[in-house]
Amino acid sequence: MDLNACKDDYSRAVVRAIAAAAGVAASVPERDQDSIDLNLVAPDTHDAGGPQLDVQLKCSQNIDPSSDRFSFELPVKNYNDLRRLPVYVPRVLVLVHVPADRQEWIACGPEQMVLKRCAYWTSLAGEPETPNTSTVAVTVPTEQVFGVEALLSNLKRPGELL
Amino acid sequence: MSPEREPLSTYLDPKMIEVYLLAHGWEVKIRNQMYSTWLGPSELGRTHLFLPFSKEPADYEDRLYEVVSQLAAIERREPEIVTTNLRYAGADLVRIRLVSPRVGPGELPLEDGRSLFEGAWDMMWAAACAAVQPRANFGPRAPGGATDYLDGVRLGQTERGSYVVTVISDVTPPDQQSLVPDESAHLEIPFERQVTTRLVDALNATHRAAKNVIAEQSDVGETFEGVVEEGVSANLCAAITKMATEKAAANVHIAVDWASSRRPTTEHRPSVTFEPSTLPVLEEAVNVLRQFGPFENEVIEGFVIRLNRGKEEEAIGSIVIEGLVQGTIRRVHVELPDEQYHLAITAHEERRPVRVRGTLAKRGRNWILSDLGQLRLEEPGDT
Repeated sequence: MDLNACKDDYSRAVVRAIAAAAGVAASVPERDQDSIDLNLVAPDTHDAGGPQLDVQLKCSQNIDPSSDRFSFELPVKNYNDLRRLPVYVPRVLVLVHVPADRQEWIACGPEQMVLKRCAYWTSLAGEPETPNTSTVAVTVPTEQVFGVEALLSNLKRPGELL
Repeated sequence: MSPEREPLSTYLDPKMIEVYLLAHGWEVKIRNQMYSTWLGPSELGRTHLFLPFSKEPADYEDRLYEVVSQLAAIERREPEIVTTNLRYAGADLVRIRLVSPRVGPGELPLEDGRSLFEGAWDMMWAAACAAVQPRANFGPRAPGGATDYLDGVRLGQTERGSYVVTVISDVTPPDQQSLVPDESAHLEIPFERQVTTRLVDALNATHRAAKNVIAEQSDVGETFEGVVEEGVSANLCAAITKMATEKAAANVHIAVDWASSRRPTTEHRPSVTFEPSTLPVLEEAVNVLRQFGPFENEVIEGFVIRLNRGKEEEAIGSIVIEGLVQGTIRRVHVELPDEQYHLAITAHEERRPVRVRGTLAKRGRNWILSDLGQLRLEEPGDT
């Protein structure tokens, strides 16, 4: 299988696993459009629909987490879709950092299963327009690790941000 | 993931979606300028639904898609059908589905397709004519109201599920302030709703009559004449047999989804299936009912045997002429304006024969002459 397809599948699996651990449903959007890869929807409560989060996924081997932030070249279309306001449901970019060697992505044993290396998130909501035509350098703080806690804190009821 | 298609926002109106939700027992929880939230009825699991109003947010289209897919899951219908029902929430939808070995999913022979579409038109035409005035048979010229109605009827996208033709009949919504249909809306039923109501009543009556003939061996003419007042006509029966087509010998399933903006206006089941076994009965009913007219440009010559006018000031009087028409002695009912009614009185008093030309048709038990020419008094001994 092509490496990019592997990275695509792997990053989806990572986020689905995090969502499942958080008790949140993850589904592929009904509408085929390039910028949102997964809709995350928490269960309804008694008096309201569940909060949601839309996620754009990227996967890269070329991330250096040693400093407090790193840069990622995001296609301009994705940048513009993720920065647009207003939105009914918040959108975040999730970057999954993987080892260069695919054999090292996952380690399985009887006690634990390890997915390498880390998922990070950032919100581009309200970012300025860009004159770029190909990609935009997006800065991601390494403290913004995407896990159960970050997922739950980013979920919002539709319309809440308006 | 579904392939790229025309945006839902081009043809889904959140206001109509709200009408649909209300009509299906959903309860609005929050409503503001940007969106509304809803709680589903208990039989649908008390699910919450988010409905966006404003197209300004970047994800308006995505949220609309979610509305459709949620409703599709809850109602256990294809998203395509839900989309059609939402799009045309203000219309009565008439769906005609063929089930036969010749009909594959989403395809059928071209010849059968032509019969299906022509039959669908004929069926709506028959229902519109019957909504103006039920008759056993309608001539080529539809009454004015029926023609106007048919000009506005549209064909929707065919749907999957054997082969489904959708006819869209817009319904004027009631004049009201709130979104909730009120009881007084029943008092004034727009013509387009009268047509679809008549269609449902007539389809049920046609099926019932056909089953009676098969089960009880009753006379086709008598059985079908008895249901003409419910909107059954030779034209309707012919439309159904055309859609089934002899080669396809299909089950023809016709169902009406009422507009969400108006409550149903008939107690009858809004869906009927005509099995292949009913088709020969319907074909015979076509022949029998056609014998009831209308026959244009017929002349009756005979004697006035009955006169009837209510109050003095009424402008129309009715008479019965017993005489020869179409080579047979018949009693024919005729409505006459004032001056001609006086002629009829003279004819009756002086026992003079009369002659008049018009359109002859059977309605219920009576032969009626309408679209009249001038009533003429003949000399005694002329007939």
